[in-house]
Amino acid sequence: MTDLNRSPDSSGSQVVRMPEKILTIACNLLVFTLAFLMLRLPYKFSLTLVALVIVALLYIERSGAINAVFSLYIRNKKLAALSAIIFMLAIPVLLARFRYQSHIAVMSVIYAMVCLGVNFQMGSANMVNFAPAAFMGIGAYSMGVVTVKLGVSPWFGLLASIILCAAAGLLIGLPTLRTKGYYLSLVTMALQLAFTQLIKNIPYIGGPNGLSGVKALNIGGFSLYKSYTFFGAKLAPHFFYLIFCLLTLTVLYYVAVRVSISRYGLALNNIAQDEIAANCLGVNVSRYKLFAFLIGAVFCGIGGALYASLTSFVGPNDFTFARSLIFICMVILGGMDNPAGVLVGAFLLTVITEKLRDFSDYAQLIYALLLVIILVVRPSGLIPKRVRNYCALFGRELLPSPQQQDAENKSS
Amino acid sequence: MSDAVANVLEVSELDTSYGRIPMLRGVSLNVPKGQVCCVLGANGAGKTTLVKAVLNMVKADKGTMRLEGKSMDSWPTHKRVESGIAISAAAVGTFHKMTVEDNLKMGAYYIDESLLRERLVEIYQSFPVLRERLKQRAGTLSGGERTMLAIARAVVNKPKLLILDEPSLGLAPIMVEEVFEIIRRLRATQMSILLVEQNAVKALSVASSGYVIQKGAIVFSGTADALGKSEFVENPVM
Repeated sequence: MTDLNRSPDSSGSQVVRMPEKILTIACNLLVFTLAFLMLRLPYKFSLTLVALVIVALLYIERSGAINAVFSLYIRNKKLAALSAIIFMLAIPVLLARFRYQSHIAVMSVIYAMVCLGVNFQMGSANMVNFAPAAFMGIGAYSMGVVTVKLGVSPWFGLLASIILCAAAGLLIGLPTLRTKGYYLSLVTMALQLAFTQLIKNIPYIGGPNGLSGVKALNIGGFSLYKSYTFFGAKLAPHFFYLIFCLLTLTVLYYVAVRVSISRYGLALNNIAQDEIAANCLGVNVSRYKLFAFLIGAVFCGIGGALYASLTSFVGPNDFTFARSLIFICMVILGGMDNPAGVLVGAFLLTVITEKLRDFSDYAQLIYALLLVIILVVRPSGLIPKRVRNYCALFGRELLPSPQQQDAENKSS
Repeated sequence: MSDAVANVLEVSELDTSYGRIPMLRGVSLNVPKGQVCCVLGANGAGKTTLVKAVLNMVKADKGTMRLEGKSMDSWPTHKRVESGIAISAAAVGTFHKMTVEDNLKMGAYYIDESLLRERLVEIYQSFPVLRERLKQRAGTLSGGERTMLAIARAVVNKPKLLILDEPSLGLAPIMVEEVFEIIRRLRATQMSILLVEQNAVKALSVASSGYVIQKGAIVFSGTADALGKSEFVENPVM
């Protein structure tokens, strides 16, 4: 905690600062190397690595070292962001020749987008939404209808997904103004089940057979999902798609972080803790609840649209209640109300699910066991929410500390 | 009232009910500007309901409410808060999982950050306890400190009307003394306060006018002196 509270100017001389920068880059390098290895290695090693990472995360959280890591990143914000983007873009390059591993990477990125969306409702505002898969489905079907039925560019599909999901988010958000807690969860659960049934019964969008032939995103005739050959090496078709998804995720992550540290995030946290108190301090509770649903739905919708464009097929079985539960598990496992934790949760669970395909008989068992263990050991997730600290985040002291103020009093 | 602006809050003929059970019946009340007005009453008399109705947390069936002469009947809770009513009450908890600093920041949800700094300096001077605990989670504070925090959070925004709903509830006598000391200090800054209390003696020591509420209706209104001498305060079974 003392580390977190230290203002940037008092963090030491230049001598201390240089290794700090190197340390930031090293931390990022470690994170992305681990991510790459988990994707690349065969399941035995990959899963061992996943287990080790989980244990390590549990350990550094318990020992408090994670606060130091976070304050390191906050102090060197620009450097951390820049190096993270560079390392992140190295992953598609390194995976360029491996089709299946690239596929896992794309899936985990898409799931991470959806989880960031769920986090607005579940993490920040404590409204458990059991319908993220339905939102994702709305996004995916918008993409499907626009490209297959209307035959227009997939970019319009992406736009349609965003607009329709925003509208759906508002609509589904409305009952939440009247219901709370378990009742709210039941409402969203009912909506999720109704959604699956609904799309199965609309012949226009293919009914139970779904829609196939969804176009991949392209930039001026250059398809993002296609096998290209570079210097004699055949690249996986996911190469450009993965880069595009990673950049989209970066933008969404930035938005999520900005929201969570802004007045909006503060208001959502207040609503989660004490709705009456929030209202009594002038927070327009209905507006913020709708906001959480709207922005969450848009995130899920973007994820859904990218998913449809990747698999070139949308069917009702991809957007079931079970899928919604997986997203909720990812958010809980990663750490509620912490965008970084949510990314970790989404990535680890996707990798575990995919790597366990090799012996599918035990896959569900191991998956369930892992969740139970983590929920018992650490119910708040692998990287739980941090205590807010606006001052350190913006690099300035909003409020004078007692010491500073004493000094001011003495001088005046 | 001949001069409307002399009162910060005017409530007239207010009726509320919980479902089919009537709660307040024809309550009229004025809070004069820059003074402390107290509302006394036993448990279940309707004190808290009155407070909730002023903030529109309980819908009024009948009656009008004015803030500085402006009708606020159609305003939702957050608009009333924005317009200058602040509350500190047992029902309005502090945010346990957030730091004291963030709790205070929430009190100033509607003001500029540049103003916030000077307001907080003032707050630290009046509430030295909080200054020491700035980075601590509110959940780790003691009951008394939490009450201080709730009051501090309510006054950060310099409200036109401060509502204190039983600030002495559940506090040790020494803390009660401290809370009333703070109310005296706030009174000195010309803040208009609606103090809702069970502790009649304490409340009358700071108030200049008062009301007694019984079974949802106002049964006495007058100056603090008159109220102190009335049967309601002299008689222990209120």
